[in-house]
Amino acid sequence: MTDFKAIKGFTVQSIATNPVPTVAAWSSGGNMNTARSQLAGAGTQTAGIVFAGDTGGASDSVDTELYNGSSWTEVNNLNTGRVALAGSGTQTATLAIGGAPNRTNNESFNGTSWTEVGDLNTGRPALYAIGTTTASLVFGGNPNKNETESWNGSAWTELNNLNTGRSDLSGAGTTTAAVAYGGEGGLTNTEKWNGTSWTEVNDLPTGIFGGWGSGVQTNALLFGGKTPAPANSAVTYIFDGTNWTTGATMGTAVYQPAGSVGGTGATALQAGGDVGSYNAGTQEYNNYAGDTTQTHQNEGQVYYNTTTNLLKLTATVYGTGTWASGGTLNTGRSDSAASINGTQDSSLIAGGAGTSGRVAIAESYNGTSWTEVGDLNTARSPVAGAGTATAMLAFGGETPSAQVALTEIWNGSSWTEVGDLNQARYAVGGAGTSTSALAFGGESPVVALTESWNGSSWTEVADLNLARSFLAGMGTQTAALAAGGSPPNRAQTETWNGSSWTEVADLNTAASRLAGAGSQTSAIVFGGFTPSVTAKTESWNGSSWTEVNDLAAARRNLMGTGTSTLGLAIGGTPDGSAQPGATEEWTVPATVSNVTVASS
Amino acid sequence: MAYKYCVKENWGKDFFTHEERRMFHLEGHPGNVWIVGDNNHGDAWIAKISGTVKTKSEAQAIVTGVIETAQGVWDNDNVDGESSDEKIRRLGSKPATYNII
Repeated sequence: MTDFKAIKGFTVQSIATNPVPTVAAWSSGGNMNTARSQLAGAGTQTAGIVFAGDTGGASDSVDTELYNGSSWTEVNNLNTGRVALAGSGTQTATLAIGGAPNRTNNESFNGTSWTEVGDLNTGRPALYAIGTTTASLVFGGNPNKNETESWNGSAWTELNNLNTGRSDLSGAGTTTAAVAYGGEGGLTNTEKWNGTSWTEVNDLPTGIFGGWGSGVQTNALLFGGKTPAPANSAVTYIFDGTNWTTGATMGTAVYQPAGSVGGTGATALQAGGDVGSYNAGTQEYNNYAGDTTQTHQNEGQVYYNTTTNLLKLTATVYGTGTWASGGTLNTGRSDSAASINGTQDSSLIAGGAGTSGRVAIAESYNGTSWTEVGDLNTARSPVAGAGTATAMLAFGGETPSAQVALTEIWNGSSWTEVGDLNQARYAVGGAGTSTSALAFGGESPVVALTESWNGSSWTEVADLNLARSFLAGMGTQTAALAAGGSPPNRAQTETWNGSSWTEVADLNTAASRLAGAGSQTSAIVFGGFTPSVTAKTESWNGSSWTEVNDLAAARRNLMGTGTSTLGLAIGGTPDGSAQPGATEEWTVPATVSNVTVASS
Repeated sequence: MAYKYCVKENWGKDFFTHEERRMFHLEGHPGNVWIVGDNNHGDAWIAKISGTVKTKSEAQAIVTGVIETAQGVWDNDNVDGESSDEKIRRLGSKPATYNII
């Protein structure tokens, strides 16, 4: 048999387990069999257990499920169904404690079945538990309970109270070194337990209630829950024994989930909860930073897994992109110049057509909001752009009296007129930077003309194969992409190699007045006119276009910037008269994963 | 698929999130009309934005009214000596009414 070295000429590392991420991250796990919220859990990420909860049914759930790190299996039911209970222990030695309505019930699971054991002294829901079946601690509960009780394997004993009574709190640690945090109403209070009493310490940065906690007193996690807004939280908060910091963001924000108990804080499990509906989803947290016992992921690394006998590759895997709302322009408009090679959190537009006519206004985006900066010297539209938020070029356009060849350069604080285009025109496609740009197409009349900018003047270079205006331009001066345009609405795509244009695969839907973001080999186009105003988005992989998720709001004559994975759709008009100024942000989730190399 | 209809001006960042876009259908239309997938997630979003719920016919009337206003603006935006083709090149095609889903 030919080995990999014989084929590729180098050896491949063989390891028994897949490399782990170098940074903390959440990933999705297997779905539970029964979707529910207000359940409880215990165990670890690879040996977890959940039980009870609200499924939306007529009675509280008695269902118990076990997790093996990838899938859930139903096992024997609890004796007493309930919601808002607490859990402690492991997958094979678990306690199910309290719950609504004011239950004192306490059941012990031995890996096979549940048995009723000693009741709590104070029955209550929305309490939290840590520990094992022989040494557990419960604290808090509804309404605003401050009671703390300790379990010794056979009975509960009342201990010193929390300083701040609360329900829907979370916690971590052991019976001798615990920490309690958050609570109903969005409490930020954090208290440390030393085996005898609670002491208030530094608060959470944001009040959270109905989240899940795990880890130890010096590396405690809080994930999920609700903020005071109220809004489901996807944030992970990490307590180092003194201070809270913000950690990895969950893929799905979830309220009142269950999860793993205790552990070291390096791994955690979240299961179920409320995501606007009853949730069966599971998410897994891993933080291997600084763990020298693990092989860490190295993107691009090929290796052989000797346990699964599979050739693997560590690579970035992209999910499905979606558009979310971004900040609203101060002056709603269409047909502005955009910093085509800006980023989702640093971009600039200038000029364009507002509701009351052409504008000179420029606005800068920081990922959250738009701020007015220095105006263009000449108000005009439709004007083309190239460059970034700090070094941009605006060229062409039309004033009330004439189409213009004007070019202006932005240095981060003001616009300066520089060398004109050779041919005055508007609705031009743009690519490149403020010192090496490309202008292609435009009108009137509609032309195929291409001009190249060297930082001081424009030079005519080879024409587009198809004359058109109102097209989308992306890329650089030596590797540009032109898509769509009119008249009539066009599907044609061309690539520029620095000296000539080549026709490549068409858009799926012919469109003009569209916008784009990205490079010659990886881009998106969105919005436009088809001949109705459209929200369509198409993704380019260097050889073909694929329809992906639409903009939320259809519009034409909009602007684009960013990349194919982190793009920005700016302004535009839904009907030709209104200029609402909405921004949408395109994000394709990306994770570094260990993927199997196909054998054929 | 069933839909709900509401009206609310997009306030910008976090008006709708990536997660929400994955959980339910959402379409924005003229007049700040939003067509929302009829599920728990869509309901939660309408509550989050404090949207004013409309019937489909009410939503359609708002969209049509805004577009008819835009048609009037388009009709009245003329330049001496401009042909109809030139006007379309300048302004884009005349806004057309349509039926929402």
